[in-house]
Amino acid sequence: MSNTTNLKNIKTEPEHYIITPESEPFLERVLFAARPLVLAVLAILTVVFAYGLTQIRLDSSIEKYIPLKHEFIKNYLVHKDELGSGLSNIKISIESKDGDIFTKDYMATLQRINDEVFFIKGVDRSAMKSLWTPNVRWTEVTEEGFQGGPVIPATYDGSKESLDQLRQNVLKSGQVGRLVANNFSSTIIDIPLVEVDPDTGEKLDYKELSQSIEEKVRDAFTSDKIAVYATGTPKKLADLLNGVASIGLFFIAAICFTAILLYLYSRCIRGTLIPIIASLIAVVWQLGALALMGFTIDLYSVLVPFLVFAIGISHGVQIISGIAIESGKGSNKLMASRLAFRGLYVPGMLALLSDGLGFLTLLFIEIGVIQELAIAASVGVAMIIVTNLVLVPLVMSYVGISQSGIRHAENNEKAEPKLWKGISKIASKKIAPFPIIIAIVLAVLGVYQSQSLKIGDLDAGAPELRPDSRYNLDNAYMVSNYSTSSDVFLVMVETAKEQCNSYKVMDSIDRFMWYMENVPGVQSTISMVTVSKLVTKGMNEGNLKWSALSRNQTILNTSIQRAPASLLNQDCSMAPVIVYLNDHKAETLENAVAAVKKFKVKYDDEVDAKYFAMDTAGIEAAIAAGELTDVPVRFQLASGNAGIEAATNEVIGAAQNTMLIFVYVVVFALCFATFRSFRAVACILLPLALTSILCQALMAYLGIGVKVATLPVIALGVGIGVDYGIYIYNRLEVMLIAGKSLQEAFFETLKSTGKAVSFTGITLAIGVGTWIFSPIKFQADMGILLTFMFVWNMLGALVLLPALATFILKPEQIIARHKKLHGDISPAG
Amino acid sequence: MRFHSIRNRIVTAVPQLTLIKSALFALSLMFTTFSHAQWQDPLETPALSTDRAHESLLLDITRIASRLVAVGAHGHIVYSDDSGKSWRQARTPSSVTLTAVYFPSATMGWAVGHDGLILHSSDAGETWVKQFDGYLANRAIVKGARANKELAIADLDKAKNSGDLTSIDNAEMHLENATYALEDAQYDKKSGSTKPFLDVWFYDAKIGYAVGAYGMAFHTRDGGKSWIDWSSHLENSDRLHINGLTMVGPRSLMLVGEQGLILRSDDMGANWRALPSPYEGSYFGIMAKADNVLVFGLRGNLYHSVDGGIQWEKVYTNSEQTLMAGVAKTDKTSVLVGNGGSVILLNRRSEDPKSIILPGRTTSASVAQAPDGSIVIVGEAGVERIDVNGAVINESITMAEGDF
Repeated sequence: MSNTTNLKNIKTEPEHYIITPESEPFLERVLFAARPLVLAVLAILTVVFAYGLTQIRLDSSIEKYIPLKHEFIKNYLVHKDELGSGLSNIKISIESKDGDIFTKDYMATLQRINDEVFFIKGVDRSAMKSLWTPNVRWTEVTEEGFQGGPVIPATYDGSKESLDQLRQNVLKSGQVGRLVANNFSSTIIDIPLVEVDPDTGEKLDYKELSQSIEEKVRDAFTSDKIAVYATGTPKKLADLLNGVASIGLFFIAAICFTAILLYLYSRCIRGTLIPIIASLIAVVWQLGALALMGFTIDLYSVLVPFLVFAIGISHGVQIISGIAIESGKGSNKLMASRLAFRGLYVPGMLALLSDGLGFLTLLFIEIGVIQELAIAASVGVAMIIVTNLVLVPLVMSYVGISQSGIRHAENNEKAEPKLWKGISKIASKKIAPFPIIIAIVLAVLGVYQSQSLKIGDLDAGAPELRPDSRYNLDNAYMVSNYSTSSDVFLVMVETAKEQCNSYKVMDSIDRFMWYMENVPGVQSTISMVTVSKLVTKGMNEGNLKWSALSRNQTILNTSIQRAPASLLNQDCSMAPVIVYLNDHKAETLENAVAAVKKFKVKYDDEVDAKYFAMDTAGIEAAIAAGELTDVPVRFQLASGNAGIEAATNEVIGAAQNTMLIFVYVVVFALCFATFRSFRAVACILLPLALTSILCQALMAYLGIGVKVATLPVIALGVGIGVDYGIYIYNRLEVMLIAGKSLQEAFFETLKSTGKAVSFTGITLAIGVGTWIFSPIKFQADMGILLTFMFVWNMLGALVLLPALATFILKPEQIIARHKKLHGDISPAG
Repeated sequence: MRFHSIRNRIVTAVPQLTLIKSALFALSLMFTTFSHAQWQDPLETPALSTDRAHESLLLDITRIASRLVAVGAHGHIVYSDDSGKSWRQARTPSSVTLTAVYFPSATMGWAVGHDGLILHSSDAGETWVKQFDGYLANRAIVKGARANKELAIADLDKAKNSGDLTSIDNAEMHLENATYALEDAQYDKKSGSTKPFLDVWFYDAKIGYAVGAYGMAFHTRDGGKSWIDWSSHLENSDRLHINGLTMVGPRSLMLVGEQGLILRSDDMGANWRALPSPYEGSYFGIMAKADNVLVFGLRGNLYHSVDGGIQWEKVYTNSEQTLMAGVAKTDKTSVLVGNGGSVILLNRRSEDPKSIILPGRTTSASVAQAPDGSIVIVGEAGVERIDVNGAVINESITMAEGDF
């Protein structure tokens, strides 16, 4: 090995180019000429981004998860503050495991839990409700009028008589199905939360609160006689945020697995550590850059470092592998690095560009978390271009690959492993039809199976968490023992100020409720009309015949005087109708939305929006002037978890195909721009398309719907998956130009690039595969699907690509084009 | 308004012809496109046709021959020809909550409800037309109240002329009441406020009464073609709610209501007088077979008279749940139903009450005996069936599909 190798002696040049034929060699000259300077700049950048890393924050805001530009959400945001309160409740249910709740022991335990909860920080004590709070009362109509009192009488002493009294009071209180289970085996403590921490003045920390409840209630009171269940949006958020913690462990696990594999692959400590460090630097840059740009981490973007790390490793491996091979051929450290850079710069750049642009197609989905995921992943890929395509070869040009590594590479070069030999037979006219036929059969089956692919979340309870998670088990207990549903679809009925209790509006709401109750999938509805009818009935001695709306405005006003604030807003211009659904399957949501839209056509007043902002005097004037015939009313979709999910489904349904088309257009354009051959592009993209189809079939089979979490998988899978094909094809072409037959060329490709690609595929699969164990359901779903896509894309590139190449590629054309462009200079790589 | 009611009648007449219906729907779409206000008065809006009508709030049930007819919320009227196992929904012109239904013959029937609505059917409850509503009622009440006030003024003049102090006092009080009544009636008419009817009873296809809230009472002698404000014929100056009315003798009627109100007429309703009440709470229902009368209401109070209401005896039901309605069965025992799923079974002499709570604990509003002997109850939970011993029959109850 001579250190005197002159730059001019390097008689290869890149076969393809991305910008101009001259730009890449120029870049190579500049980078390698100023190695210390470049490394110094990279070091400074690393320090800057590492500082950025310290600024990173975990974001728990809900807005990022919902499509803010969707009409439903816009309508919801208008009333967000008025509707907000319903979301910040935790419900704890205390179950008596032996017998019912009417025992002295149970009531004593409930009292102790009630007292514990009362003093937990963040609890809105005045609004807290349980059998032991004085605001839970029974009422009864008697000859003298209403009578009532607290459910637990002042004289309660745990005796049989007072327990009997309690039982009577509970029945009269109307709390059965609400605070008391339908089967009387448990009761609920309903805990409204304050928005702001009273001590710090900041937003209440749900994690801390959930922790207190777990420790002070669940852990302290669970026994063979008492079981504790807890649900509510704040609890769910806390559980999700706790789930994020495990992501750190997965990341460490992924690094360890990768390191082991990388060592087995390269048999060189330096060759193992440098790609890992370079990839970690890419992660630091990515997170640091995002933090400096003001982005926050959420439950989706927390996964991006995995991708960045894994993609970084896979490209780093290609470089290390290239350097080892060149070193084996006798080049010195610097020369080997330069040759590897020259050979891999174009396919690497192309692969990374298609990754990055593929991710950017996610911007079409107007949901904050997905757009930020797109930005985070694209930024990450941009960082990899620098860290792994530039930093790795530069560092390697100093440290070089170890002797054992070079020997390992040489052995590989000479060896003719049976596996690769076997696979290379695919590139023959005899064998090639089989993979193609299998692929076609799989594609047909896949298309058939994916017919049953659904949009939206399909599991019951909180779909973000696993069906067997603590939260969902608790939720299932609540749903089956109380008359409540966790799938709430909220329609906002808007009118002019002070008009929500006018007869016309109330009657419209009444009709709407009954209409909705007839829609399949709707369980029940509640609104201020429900309250009005109940109170009107109550004012008439509980006579059921009076449970109807009165046309007497005074009676209407009285009837809603004590309606809960959640059922009408301050200025009485909006009253929500709460529609409880059986589940949140896409079909159920679509039915509900379609029904509301149909109702709107019939009942919405098509009048200028200004009338909805008017006060009573304005409306009366408008009616007098003949501009209006009556108080205006309109039914606005939609809020509640089911309403938001319906909006999300619509956004996703609309974006799904657009995104798929764009991602393929992007990879097609890039591949074609680089390889300038439809045949080449077909060889690369057809295996990819098969994987996409099979992925959808798998989703349908596993019951995973197209949702916020799984939509990015398509872009990520295609964007990253195309790398394999690009590397394989690039190498295959070089070998063909060298004059080998297709089968020989493919064998050579497999030995080097093929090995690197299968290594990459496995590394990536391991990286995302760890997510499968995440307690957060959508992260696990993403893990399953990405693992599947990475493995299938790898197999596609190794098996289907050569089979297709056998029939599609025309080696003579490739050689002819090479001669025309480059003459006798052999291609790099 | 006119357009709509004509349209509704067409819809009523040709329920099966979907083609015509869709054409009408298109027409109604055209119509709504040009109109600002899309909401129409529920009195003029046909009830939603739905296969869940038998599961929603139903407030009264009656039996004609082998058919059961029930009425309730959202203007629903449903009927069953197989003892309540399967139901069909009648075509109705309005969607106002109906509170009571009565058939004096096998084909002619009346249903009343909120907003002063009176519907009539002449085909055993399958199709219904509107005869009367709150707006007409308000006009009639104002007219009646004005006449009554003039009568009161004349009475006062007469009394003053006679110089009898007691008659003057009485006449002044009468005038005061009549003045208030007129003012209230004028206010209601102006503000569009209406009152619900709570019960209806017909002697035959011509003569009948509809009674309701705030002492509202209307009388017809021509099968409902015209309704006359009859409240001034009732001894009910406090205008208490009238909750039930029935026949207690060949020409005798009795009605019950708020605050222990019991009135009796022995001339087919021309004149009414108050009977002393054994209870000052409200009665929600009355059942009678000649002089044998049961009245019942708030908090499980049940009173029995064997002499047409002269003497009452309390029946201790052992339940504090309000009783809403009852029915005498073919074996002469009775069933009463009420709040919280309570059912009271009485023997042939209206004694020995047996109290049962239905498992759903929902409030019942009315009860009838089906042709097969079972008991059909309606209320908050729609239709429920129980056997003679009060056990729930768990056979599923079906409903013919609606257009929903």
